[in-house]
Order: sequence, then structure tokens, then C-alpha cells
Amino acid sequence: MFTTAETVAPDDAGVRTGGALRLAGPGDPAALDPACVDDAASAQLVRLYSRQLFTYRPEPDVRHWRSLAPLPDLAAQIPSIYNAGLGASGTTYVVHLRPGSRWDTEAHRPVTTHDVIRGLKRLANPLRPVSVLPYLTSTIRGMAGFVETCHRAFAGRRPSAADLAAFQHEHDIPGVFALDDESLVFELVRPTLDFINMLALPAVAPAPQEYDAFLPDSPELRRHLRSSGPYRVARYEPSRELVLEPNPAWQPETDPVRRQYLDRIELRLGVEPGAVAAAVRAGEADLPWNAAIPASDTGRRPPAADAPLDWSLDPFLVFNLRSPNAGGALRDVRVRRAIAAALDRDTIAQAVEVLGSGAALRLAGDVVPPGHDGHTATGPEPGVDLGRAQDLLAEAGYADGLVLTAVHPDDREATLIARCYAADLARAGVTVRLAALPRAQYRALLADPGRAAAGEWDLTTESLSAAWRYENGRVFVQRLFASTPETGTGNVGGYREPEVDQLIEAALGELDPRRRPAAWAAVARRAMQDQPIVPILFRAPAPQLRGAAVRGAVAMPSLGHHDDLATVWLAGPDDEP
Amino acid sequence: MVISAGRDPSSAEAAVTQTAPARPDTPASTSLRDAPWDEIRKLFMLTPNAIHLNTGTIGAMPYQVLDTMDEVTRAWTGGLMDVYPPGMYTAHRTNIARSFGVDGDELVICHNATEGVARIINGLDLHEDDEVLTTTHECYSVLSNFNLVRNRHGITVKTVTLPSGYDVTADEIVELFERSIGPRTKVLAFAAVTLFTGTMMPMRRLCELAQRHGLITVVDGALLPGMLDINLRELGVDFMSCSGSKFQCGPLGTGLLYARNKVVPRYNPLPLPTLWPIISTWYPMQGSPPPRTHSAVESDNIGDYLQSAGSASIARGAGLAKACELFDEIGRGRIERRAMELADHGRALVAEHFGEKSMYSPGADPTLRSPLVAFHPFREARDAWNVKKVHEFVTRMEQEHRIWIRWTEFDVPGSPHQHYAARFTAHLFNDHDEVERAVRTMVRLAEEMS
Repeated sequence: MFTTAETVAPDDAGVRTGGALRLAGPGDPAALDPACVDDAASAQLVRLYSRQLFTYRPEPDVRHWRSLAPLPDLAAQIPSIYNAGLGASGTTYVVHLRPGSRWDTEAHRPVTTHDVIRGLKRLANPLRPVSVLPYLTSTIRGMAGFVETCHRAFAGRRPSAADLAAFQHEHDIPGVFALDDESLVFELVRPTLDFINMLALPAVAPAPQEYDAFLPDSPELRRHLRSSGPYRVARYEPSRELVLEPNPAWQPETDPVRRQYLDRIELRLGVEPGAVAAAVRAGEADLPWNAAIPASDTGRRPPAADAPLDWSLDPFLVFNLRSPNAGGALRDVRVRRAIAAALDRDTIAQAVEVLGSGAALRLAGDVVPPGHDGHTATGPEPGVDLGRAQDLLAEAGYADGLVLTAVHPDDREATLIARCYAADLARAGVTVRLAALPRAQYRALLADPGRAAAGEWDLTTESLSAAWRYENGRVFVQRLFASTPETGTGNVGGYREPEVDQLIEAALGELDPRRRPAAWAAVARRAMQDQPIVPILFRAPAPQLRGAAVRGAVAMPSLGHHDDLATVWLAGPDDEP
Repeated sequence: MVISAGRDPSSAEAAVTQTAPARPDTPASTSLRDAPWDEIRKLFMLTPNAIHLNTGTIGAMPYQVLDTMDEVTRAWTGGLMDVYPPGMYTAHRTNIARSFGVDGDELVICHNATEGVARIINGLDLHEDDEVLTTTHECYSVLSNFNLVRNRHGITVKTVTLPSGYDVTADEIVELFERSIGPRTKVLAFAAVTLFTGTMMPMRRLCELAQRHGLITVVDGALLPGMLDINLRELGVDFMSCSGSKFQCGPLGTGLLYARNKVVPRYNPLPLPTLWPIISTWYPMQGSPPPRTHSAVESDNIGDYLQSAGSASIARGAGLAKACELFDEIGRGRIERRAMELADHGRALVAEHFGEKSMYSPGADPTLRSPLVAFHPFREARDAWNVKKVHEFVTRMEQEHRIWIRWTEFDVPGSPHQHYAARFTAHLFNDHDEVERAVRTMVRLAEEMS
């Protein structure tokens, strides 16, 4: 009864199988270990070899309910009152696994509930925290305590893989337990309307026992990745190449969303975005990876004018509130407000447009983009007020200016944006020293509060898109403003305000749909009195460049509107365009 | 237009029901009141070689009910008669209402308890910030409809988790509700008998509590008809929705809805609460119905507004009426005593073999006992939150031993876990031998599975 799943009936009519899909992109994947995936480009790759309990369909029309609703992936069914998966109080979920899902281990071992629990426990590691962790610690009973205990156990020292594995074996998350190999229970601290969406996050993925031998996302683990999806990693050379091949342990009838049409997927790494676009247009690559390249030359049409656009907050400026630099200037709200007043969003928008991302842009006067829970229609577009900026700086004791360090990934857009705001701030008397880093190093720096406290950076720009689009107030507000343990947070600037935390608690507990968005808006409003970030732009996705042979590619909101590679197939030379 | 001019709906309905012949083997009605239980058992369509201890989910229908449905269906199939008058069920409603101490203008035959409770909850005159006080042990249909009203009108739904266990007392339950009533509370909603733990709620005391605070009472009485010999007027409840197919043993897809339509201060002195009959053919197309009465004399027929909902399942309504008629003949008090006595026998056996601590159903306070007994069958406490093990227990009872019980799930105060219980239900067609055999089998199976 419990593990009975809807039959998987793919429509493969007209699909040509075989061939090698060629991707090219800048940098190296920020994460290949599912437990460390925080960015859409990594999620796009991980989806090929890592399945979650729940996921989303690749639905071509993002307006369709099917693109919004999670569906069972490794799970047999969405827990509900009809299948005894959800109790009346809304705090107990029972999840049963779909039979037949296997790892690409030698014996093709089944994916079990113990793997699911291992995957959750690995998220607590203090070495490579993911920004979505606060969603889980504020939801699953005992998860916060588990994470805290883990961090305390390794405070002041770097744990080995064996240390982490031993901790995971010796400690349990009270609110997560297996009934047997195929069924497990999640107990929540409160009714949580978006809990299934959380379980569909790429980072919330089962982990095989083999991962106990490696540190999270370590080079060794990247060489020993295991697959539960249709493809598996065949070869990985950092900053050069990632090659995936069909996973023989994957059975199509067990997977409702992914297919295995290709013989091979080859990702060429370290290619500049300009070169990526040229390669795709020249037929030397089929798809760009980790680069926003509009499809304007390929004939793909943008969404209809009346289509609801999936806006993201991209970019926003983050202040490192832990930084001791310039006498701890950024701890003074007047300095942060001065920087906000000096920022010229218009210039940054023009720079982004010049680069040709193809995205629709709006100047951001709010934290939460339009169309998401907690967005409030704001007044006039935010402008520049250099006089106010200078007054505030003088008031804070920085009339003679100050020097700050901004870090950014070493790609073109991030570099250009950093140069823009550095120029803006210079006009107000703030000198910004820019430091470009490879994306993986950049992410490691931001994830390390010790380096933040040491003043290795003061400013950066980040982007945030919604992994789900319904009941999603927490996606922007909780992630940006919740006080969390020293690591494991999207709040990289280290903002802490008990009143904001209380408002977040209230918003998380608000079940009335008419009050929920207002509750999230209240959090954002209160947090922004402290100006821990500066919203710069809202951005809506544009159709991206695809090679002529690419078929079956669907841009998914949950992948930041990157294509789902797991349904891609390649047309032959004689096929109609 | 739904009624033909000059035609009396009650006479049309009577003509239909009179066509149903009695079964040859049915005991004469005069004998049912004194008929032995093994004779009465023969009235019911029970699956051979099986023990039906799950009336809490679905009752066994008497043969005569099936015959009635068959006759009425045949009489009306393909006919050209006016189908609307019999759909008002005037005579049936009058007869059934009498069995529950109320009048036909207060009773509606509907499609099931869920429909009944949805029509009540969505028909209440609730506004933003009004509060409903109910429990986590309510049927999902109650909680989902209150959530709908919350989403629609901005009310607050406050839930309390009922205590469970052998030693629970009525005082505890009443005090829990009393503590939870606030200045904005407008409605007190509870089940007459909870389906998860089989707790007979202290209905009259809760209604008195509600009246002291000026609250509307909405009672989920899904299990009540056919179980208790009860007078709804004396209970003092404002609204109740009931199933026709559980203890009342009527056809699937039948239910009863009670809406208080007169003020009898001795039982409920509060003014009649506003109810918007949200599904109604007869609600006026212009203007409003007459003002509600403030006395024991009805000023309008709220039951007719609710009953008039287009064409009706005439055969099923007649079947339900027949089931009620049979229960009246047997004697509702007698049936109540029989079901309670069988359940008490089973409860004592469960307490003896599994221990009182295994019980989720009350036992020490006799006023809270019902014919439903829920308990934890396994040795390990942690198995109480293992839905698969409890489900397997119930499934094996059914598949290996042909004994039908069910499992339930509910919150327990102070526990972070959702608990699961095995639940059996006794009714008039069961006997001591069945109850004993069931408990013996459960003891063996639980031992094996523990």
C-alpha cells in the first residue's frame, strides 16, 4: 500500500537516443557533492546523478501548475491525509520510498531511508555548510540541536572524514527516524506548508555509506561520486572537464522525471562566457553552462508579455558585519545606509544590459522580488543621494572616507558590477579595493565566518532566486536575515537581530494565507531598518542559448531557469530544426 | 420550480415507500423489540466467515434497506413522475427527527457527514478574527472546512489536543475546553465520539459550557445515530452532522444534518445562530426568509431550505429511513446497551491482556466510554509511532484471520510523535464470541509481531 507509486509512463515517441551532449562554461562547479549544492549551476549537474525524495517536473510552460507542484522522486507518493502520510496537526510526515531505486555501487545497492537520513546528517558538517540549512533547522524537530552539537564537537579543530562519520553514527536527529529500509518519519516543530519543497532541494539528497570515507565535497569525494540518477560521473578533472556516462544501475521505470537518452555528457570547464557563446553558435558546444547567454540569435521566443515572470533578487550588496576593517565601520548602520544611498542601481542595470544577459531588469526597492510571498509594492524607484551618503559617513566619523575590500567571482558580470559600485562609492568617499576569485574559492571564503571576522572581505554582491514559488516567504527573508550558528547560513554577512528572529518565528507559524505575506513583509521591513544588505536589481529570466541539435531541454525554475539536462536528447543532422 | 402545484410532497414520498414489500424472512416488526440478538443479527448483510468490528468506518446494511433501495430505484427509473417532492423527504425527516427528540424542520437528509459538516461550517456567520475552538482529534472533513473558512474569512482556528488513555476523565476534557475559550471564541466544535480514540465526549457538559460563554456548538456526530439513544433537543446542541452508513447502518452516501430551529431555554437558551443555507434551491431569490424564532415555535423551516438541493438520491434516502425505522423497532436504547456492553467486554479483555496502559480509549470514567476501543497492541512503546507496523497488524487481522478492525492516527498531548492505534468497534450485530475471538487473535498476533 505505502510504496505503491504512480506508474512511470514516459512519452519517448520521436526521441533519438545516443550521442554526446557537449557543454562549455566558465570556472569549476561550486559543488559536486549534493550536500554542498547552493547554486543553480551545480544543481543542474547534480540533478543528473542525485535524486531527492521529491522534485519538480520539467514543465515547458512555467505558468502551469505542474511546474509549481512537487512530485515524488525517490518517494512513492506525496504525503497527505489520504495516504496516512500527514497527520491532522501537520507536524508528522511519513515518507515511503519508491521500490527499485539503486546506487551505482558494485552490487547496485538500493537507495534506503538510512541513506536519506545520512544525507540530512551530512548537512550539519561545519566544513561546507549550505545556505538552506536554516530552513531545516527551523522546521525539523531536533535538527537545530543536532547541528549545534556537531559544530560544538568540532569547535576549534578541523574534523576528519572519520570524525564526521563517527559523529553521524553516534548522534540522531530526534525528528527523523527510519521505520525500516523503505519508510521514514519526519517530525516538525510546527505545521510547515513548504516542507515538501524543502525536501526537493538539491542539497537534501540521500547519501550512500561510501561518502562516510570523505570530507564533504572534497577532491577525493568528487572522484568517488555515486549516482542514483540516469547518469554518473565518469571523469572529473578540476577546471578542465567533467564527463558523465549512463548509469547502469538506474531503471527508467523508477524515475518519473529523468531520462537517459544520451551516451555521454561532456562539460568543458574554464571557458570564458564570450567563448562559450561563440562555441555554441559555431556548433562546437550544444549548451552553455554557468553562463547567462540569451537565445536572441537562436529564434527562441521570450515568454508572452502577460506571463508571470519569475523575478529573482540579483544582485544585492552584502555587508560583512563581522569585519574589523576601517575600525569596524560596517558595524555602524550609518555607514551601511551611506553606502546604500551612494549606490547607483541604474548604472549597474545598464552594465548588466550591456553584457547582454537578455534578462528583464527592475531596480530593486525591496528585498523580496515581485510575485513572491512578502513582496511589497514600493514607491518611487530608489535613487542616488550622494549628499545624504556623505552626511551619514561624516556623522559616523568617516568624513575623510574609508577603505573597504570587495570580493567577487572572477566572471565578467560580477567583475563589472563590482567596478560599478566601487565607482559609485568612490564618489561618496569610500575606496573599494576589488578582489576577484575563482567561483569555488569565492564560495569557500563567504562560507567561512572566521575569515569574515578576520576581515578578508567587506563587501560582495550575491543573487538569490526562489527554489519554489508558492508559500515561499522564507526563501528570501529567512535565508537573508535569520540569525544562525556561525556557519551554515545564507546570511553570509552575519546579521543578527533578536527582534527579526522573533518576527521570522511569527511568520513561520502564520497559517492564515491572508496574513502570511504580510508577516514576511514585516520581517523584511524590520531587518532593512538595519540595512544588512542593499537590494540592487530584480531580474527575470530570459530564454537561454541552445545549440541547434538540442531537444527536450526545459528551463526549470527550481534550477534557476537553467535547462534540465536529464531530459535532453540530440537531433541528428537530417532532423528538422 | 421544484414542486408541482397542488401536490403534497409528503404524500408522494409516502406512495414511494409504501411500494417496498417486506422480505419474507424478516421478523414481524412487533417481535423485533424482544427478538434475541442472534435473530436480529440475521437482519444484516454480514460477510460470511468474517468478523465485522469496524462499524466506526462502515456499518453492515440490513437486507430490508437494500430491498427498499431496490424497490424505490425501480419505481423511479425511467419514470415521468415529478422527482422533486420526494426529494424533500418530509415524512422521512419527521420520522427520523422524532427518534432523536427533534422535529422535521430541524433535520435534513444529506449525502454524508462530510457534506453535512461542510454545509454547517461554511454556513456559519463568521467574520475576520472570530475564533473557532476545536481539537486535533476531529475528522479531517471538520478541520479542512474550518481551514477553508479561515482562508476565506480570516477567522482563527484554535485546536487543542484531547487527552487520551484509560484514566482520562470528563472533567479533564471540559476543563481543557474551558481554559481555551477566549474573548474572540465564537464556536465550540467537537466530535460526539472521536473516531481516533473512541472517546465519548461529555456532550451535554460541553454544550452547557458553550452556552455559558454564548458560543455556537458544532458537533460531528458521524458515529452517533444508531449508536446512542439520544435526544438532540435535550443535548442543547446547535448543529450536528451525522453519517447514515456507520452505526445507523443505512446506505453509503447518506447522512443527517441537524440545525436547531427553536429556542427551548431549558436545554439551550441562546438565540438561534445564523446559518446561511449555502446549498439551497428554496432560499428566496429576492428578500430574506422570515426572522428566526426566539421561542419554542419555529418561525420558518430551516430544514427545507437545506433539504431543497435539486434532485435527490430518493432511493438512498428511503433506504436510510428504512434503517432508522428498523432501529426504532429494535429499540435504540436496547441497541445502545448492547453495543456498549460488547465493547466493555472487549475493553476489559484488552485491559487484561495488553494492560490498561496500552489503551488510548477512556475506561475508568464510564461516561467517556463508547463502542470504539483504541489501543497499542505492541510491547515496545516506540511501535506506537510506526504506522507500518500498526497497518500490518490490522492487515494481517483481516487477511489471515478475516477480522476487520482498523488503525487510527492522532496526536497525544506532550508527545512529539503522531501515534497510531488498533481500533475495534462493536455493534448490535456482533456477539461476545466474536469479540473474544478477535481479542484472542490480536493477543497472539501482537505477541508474534512484538
